[in-house]
Amino acid sequence: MDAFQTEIVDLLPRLRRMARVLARNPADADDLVQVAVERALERRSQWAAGTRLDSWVFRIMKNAWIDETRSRTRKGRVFAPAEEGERVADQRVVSMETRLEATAVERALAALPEEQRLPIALVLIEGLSYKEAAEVLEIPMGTVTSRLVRGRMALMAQFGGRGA
Amino acid sequence: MAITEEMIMAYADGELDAAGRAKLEAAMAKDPEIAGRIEAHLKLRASLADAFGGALAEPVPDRLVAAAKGAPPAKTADVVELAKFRAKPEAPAKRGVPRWAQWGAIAATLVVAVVVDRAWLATPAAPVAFGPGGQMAAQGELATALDDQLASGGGGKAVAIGVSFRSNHGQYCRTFQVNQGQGLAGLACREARGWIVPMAMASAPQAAQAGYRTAASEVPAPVLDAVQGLISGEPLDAKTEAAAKAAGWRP
Repeated sequence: MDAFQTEIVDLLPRLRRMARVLARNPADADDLVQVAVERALERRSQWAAGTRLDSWVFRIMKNAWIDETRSRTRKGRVFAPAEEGERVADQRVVSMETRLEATAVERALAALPEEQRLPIALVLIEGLSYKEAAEVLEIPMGTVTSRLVRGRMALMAQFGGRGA
Repeated sequence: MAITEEMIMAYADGELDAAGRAKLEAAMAKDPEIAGRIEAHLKLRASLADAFGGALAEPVPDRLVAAAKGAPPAKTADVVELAKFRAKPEAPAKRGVPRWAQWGAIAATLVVAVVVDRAWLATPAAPVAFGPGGQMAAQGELATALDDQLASGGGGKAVAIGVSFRSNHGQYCRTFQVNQGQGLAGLACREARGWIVPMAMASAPQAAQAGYRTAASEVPAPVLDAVQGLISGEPLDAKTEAAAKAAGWRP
């Protein structure tokens, strides 16, 4: 295993986390991670050393997801339904109170349109800058900013964010 | 100037430049509500990170680690035992892949390998028994299905037969999917003492299949790989399969 592969292995937990935002179903999410990782290895010569590897793989994963959703739509296949039990992203949360909250936050994010869900996940969960998120999503930074605002306002409205 | 939601958000995200920060902090000093709005953004950030933090703590499935290491997919599944009898080096290279195997490979990319429950395999009701030297032999319903069930005839719910073929050792071999317990997919070859299972892997029970082709398309990749290494010629068709069955699967 070389340095590049080691870095990809180290990224796996974060890739799984991001994939769950995209796919909303843990099994689909891991399939997506696998596809993204395989593509990343195939195209490793295209990665510019010194740039963020995570951003690069996130972009590959985003495109893999677009391919997957298109092909599923073409084939008329349905997505595996997000099951309540599986939907709780954080299995560590043991206290019922926190667990309910985690489910609610997750559910709220899952309910957002994809164009808002992705920038929110990249910036708020993965900690990317607006510029880096724009590069992953291959959209202008101003678009990222406006989608972030819209998505967050929707989330905060549900959680009584303002003044709560 | 007016403080927009966009500015407040950018402040919370650390995306404002020095001038923007100064403006916002000046506005905050006059209007305490702004501080509350910034706090709401920060709280949302924290609860999202919390809700999705679980993926970071969970162990990563082996198949993903293997994929990151660039291992061929066949090695990512949890294979109980893969006998080493692959195609002999002197055997002529097979031209192309049978059509059913191509479908199978596509479907198999979606197969999630789960660890075989060894405790289940150790019970008398298990489809396979371990002989001396760790060799697996089919027993019970699996052995009966391998004897009696035709791949081309669709099949019972407990066991589905995928494909039947002649191995390059001259034996008859069949792929199977056990739809009981934890589920088991694999390959069995008929020897004088019964159905020997050179390889099997955990494979979640599948809904009853309509027939031969559908069943074949569900064969997991490692099983297909084993078939590829073992098959001589093409899979049996309905007629040759029935004849093999009539002959007690003895070559």
